[in-house]
Amino acid sequence: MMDGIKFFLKCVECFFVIYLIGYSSFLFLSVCVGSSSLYNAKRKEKMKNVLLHDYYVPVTIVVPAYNEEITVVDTVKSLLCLEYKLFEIIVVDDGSKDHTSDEMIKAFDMHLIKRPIHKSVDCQPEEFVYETTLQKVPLTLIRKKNGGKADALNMGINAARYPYFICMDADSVLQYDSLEKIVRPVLEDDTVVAVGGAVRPSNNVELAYGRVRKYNLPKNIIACMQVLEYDRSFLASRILFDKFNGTLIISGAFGLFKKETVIAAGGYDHGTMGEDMELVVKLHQFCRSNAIPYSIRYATDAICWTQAPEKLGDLMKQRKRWHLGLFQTLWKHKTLMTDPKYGVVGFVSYVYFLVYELLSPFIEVFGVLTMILAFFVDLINIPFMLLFFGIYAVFGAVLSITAFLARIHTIDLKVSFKDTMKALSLCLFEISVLRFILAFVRLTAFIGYRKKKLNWGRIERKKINWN
Amino acid sequence: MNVEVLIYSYMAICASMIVFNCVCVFVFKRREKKLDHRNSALAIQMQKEVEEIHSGRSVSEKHRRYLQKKLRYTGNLLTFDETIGVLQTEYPEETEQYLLQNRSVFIYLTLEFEGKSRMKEAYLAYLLEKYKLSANMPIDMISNAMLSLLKEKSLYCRENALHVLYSTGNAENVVKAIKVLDRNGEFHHGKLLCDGLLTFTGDHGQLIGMIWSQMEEFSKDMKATLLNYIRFKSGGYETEMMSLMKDEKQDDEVRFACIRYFGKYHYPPALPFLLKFCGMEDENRWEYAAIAVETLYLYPGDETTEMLKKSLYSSNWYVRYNAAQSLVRMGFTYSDLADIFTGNDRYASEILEYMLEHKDIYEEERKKESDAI
Repeated sequence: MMDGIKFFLKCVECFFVIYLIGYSSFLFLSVCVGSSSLYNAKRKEKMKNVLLHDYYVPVTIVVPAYNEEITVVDTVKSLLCLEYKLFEIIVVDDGSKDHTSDEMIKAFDMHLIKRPIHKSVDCQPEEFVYETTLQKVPLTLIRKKNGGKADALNMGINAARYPYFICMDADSVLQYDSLEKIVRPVLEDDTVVAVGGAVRPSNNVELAYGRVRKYNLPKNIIACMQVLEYDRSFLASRILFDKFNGTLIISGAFGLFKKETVIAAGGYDHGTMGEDMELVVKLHQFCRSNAIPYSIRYATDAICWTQAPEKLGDLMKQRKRWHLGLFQTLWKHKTLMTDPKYGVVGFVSYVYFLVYELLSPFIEVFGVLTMILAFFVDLINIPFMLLFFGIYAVFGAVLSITAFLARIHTIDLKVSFKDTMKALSLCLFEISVLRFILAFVRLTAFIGYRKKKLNWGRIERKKINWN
Repeated sequence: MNVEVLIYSYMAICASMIVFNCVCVFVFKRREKKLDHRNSALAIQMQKEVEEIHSGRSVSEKHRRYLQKKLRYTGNLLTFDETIGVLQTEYPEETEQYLLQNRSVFIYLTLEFEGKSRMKEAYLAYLLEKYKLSANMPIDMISNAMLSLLKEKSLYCRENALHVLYSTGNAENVVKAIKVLDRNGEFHHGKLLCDGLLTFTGDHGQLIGMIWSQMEEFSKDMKATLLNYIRFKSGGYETEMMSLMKDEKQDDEVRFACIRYFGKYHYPPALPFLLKFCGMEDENRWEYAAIAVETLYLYPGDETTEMLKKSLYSSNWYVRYNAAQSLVRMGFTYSDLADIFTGNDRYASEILEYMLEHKDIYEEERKKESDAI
C-alpha cells in the first residue's frame, strides 16, 4: 500500500515539475517578448516608423446593449469624440427591459425609419430601427428581440455598411486614437481578418473626450489587482501569441473584424457564453480549412478603457462566465488539437488554453489534495513545500510587475510613487490569494451552467465619466 | 532532475528580473536626463546658428561638420527635429534658411545610413519630407536612396520614402517608384498609394500621362490603384477608361475602377456599356451589376429608369440597394415610383421606401441644422 502511495506521489511530483516548468517558462517567455516588443514599438513610434496617414479604412462600430440605460448614451458620446474620419455607429438593443432605446432616441434626436436589414448571419428579428445624420457620423439604433450578446452582434454585422466592424461593450470607452491604431495592421497586411485591441480597467482613471487626463491605479483593491492581471495577460501573453499568428482570444470589449470573412465563417455563435473567443477560434479553423491566407493580429496601442468589477461577487460571476465560454469554445473546436493541418494554433495555442487555462483549476486542486494525502502519510517536506510556494508566488509577482512597468515605461502614462508601491505590494497578493480564489470559481463554474445559456453576465454598472 | 536545482534556477530568474526592472527604471530616468542634456548642447548650437542667420550671416562650415557628426545618432536626430519645431515658431524665415543651408548634411546622412539602419533611414526620409529638404537637391542622389528604401520589407520605410518622392514633384521618379513597388512583391495597401499620389506636388497631368503610357506594364492590382488615383484627380481620361472597361481580358478590379470612373464623370458614350453591366447578375459577376447600377444616376433617361426599376427586383441585395439609391438620387418621388410600391415584390418596395424616407429625414435634419444656425 505504502509503496503504491509512494509511486503515486512520485508520478504526481514528476507531473507537477513538468507542468510548472511549462507554465513558468511560458510566462517568462511571454513577459520578455511582450516587454521587448513594447520597447521596440515605442522606439519605432518615436522615429516616425509609423503610418502618418489621416484617411483610413471605413469601419462600423457595433455596440451591443442590454439594460444599459445608465451607460449607453455616454458610450456613444465618447465614440463621437474618436479622431477618425470614416466610421458609423450601430447600437443594438437586445430587447432591454429598461429604457436603453428611449435614452438613445431622446439624447440623439433619432428618427424612426423602415430600414430593411440584409440577414447574412442568423439573428433574432428587429422590432424597430432609428437613424440620425445629425451627428458627426451616421448613428443607427436597432431594437431587436432578445437573443443574447452574440445575437446582438450578428444583427450589428448584418446592418453594417462598411467592410470592417468593431465590436465593443456598451460600458467601455475607446481612447481617442484607438480606431486609427486598430486599423493599422489592416493597412500593413491585406490578409488580416481580425485585430484585437488592448483592454485596460478604467476605474479611477480620469478620461476627457477619450483622452487620459490623469492616470491612477484603482482605489478598490480587487480592481487594482485586475490592472496587474490585465497587464500580464494583454501585454505579455497576447503579444507572444501574436508573434506566431496564434491569438485565440480577442476581447469582446474591443476587436476589429473583416466583415466578409466573419460572415463566411458563420458569424457569432449564439450557443456559447464566450462568443468573442469562439469567433476567433472559428476564424482560425475556417481560414485554415479553406486554405485562405490570413492573420489575426494584436494592436498593443489600440486602447479601450473598461469598467473592471469592484465587488468580489461580480468578479466571480464574470470569471465563471469566461471559464464556461472557454470550455464551450475548446470543446466545440476540439479538432484543432487533433488535426495537424491547424499547425501551431492547434499544438501551441490550443494546448496552452486547454492545459493552463481550462484545466488549471482542476490540476491545482488535484495538487492540493495530493499534498493533503502526502501530509497524512508523512511524506511531505513542509519547509521545502513552503519554499516552493514562496518561489512560485515571487516568480509570478515579479513577472506581473515587469509587465506593469513595461507598460508604464512604453506608454506615456505617469504613475505616482504611491501607485507604484501599491502595485508592488499587490502583485504578490494577486498571485497568491486572488488567483486561488478565481481558481476555485473556475472549478465550480460548471454548476448550473445550462441555465445561463443566453445570460448577458451582468455586473454592477456605473455612469461613465467621459468628459 | 534534482528539484532543488529547479528551485534555485527560478530564484535566479526572479533575481535577474528584479535587477532588470531596477535597471530599466534607472536607465529610463537617466536617458530622460541625458536627452535633456544632449538637447541643450545641440539645441544651443542650432539656435546660435539661426541667430547668426538672423543677423545676416550664413551657416558656418564648422557647424555643418558638427551636424554631420552629431546627427549620425538617433537621439540627436530626434533632438534636431524637436529643436527645429521650436525654432520655426520663433524664427520661421531664418529656420527655413538654416535648413536650406544645411541640405548637404542630409545628403551626407542619406549616404551614411544607406543599408545600415532601416529605422534611421525611414526617419531620415520622414525629416526630408517634413522639412522639404529634398526640394532642389541633386535629384539622383536622394531619389536613388529613396528608391532603394522602397525595396524594404518595412512598410514605414517604403511609405516615408514615397512621401519624399511625392514632395520632390518629379513625375518620372514617382513612376519609377511605382514600378519598383510593383515588382518588389511586398504588399503595399492601394489606399496608401492612392492617397499618397494625390499629395504629389508636381504636375498631375504629366504624372497621369506617364502612367497611362506605361499602364500595361503594371500588375492588375497596381493598375486598379492607379485608375482609382486618376478617378480622384482628373476627368479628362474618358476614352482611355472606356477602352479598358470594354476589354474583357482585363482583371475585374481594373474594370470596376473604370466603371466607377463613369460614376464620377458623366460620359454618355459609356451608357450602353453600363446598362449592359447592369444585366450581368450571375453569381460570380454580380459586382459588375452592383457597381454599374450605382453609376446610373448620372445618366438620366427612360432607358436608365427602366434598368434601375428592373434592378430593384434583382435577387442580389447590393444590386437592389444601389438601384434604389440611384433612383432616389435622380430625384424620383413616391408618386413617380408608385408602380414599385403597388407591385408584388416586397423586397423592392421596402428598399425603395427606406431610401426615400432616408432622404426625407436627411433633408429635414439639414433644415433643422440651418435653422439652428
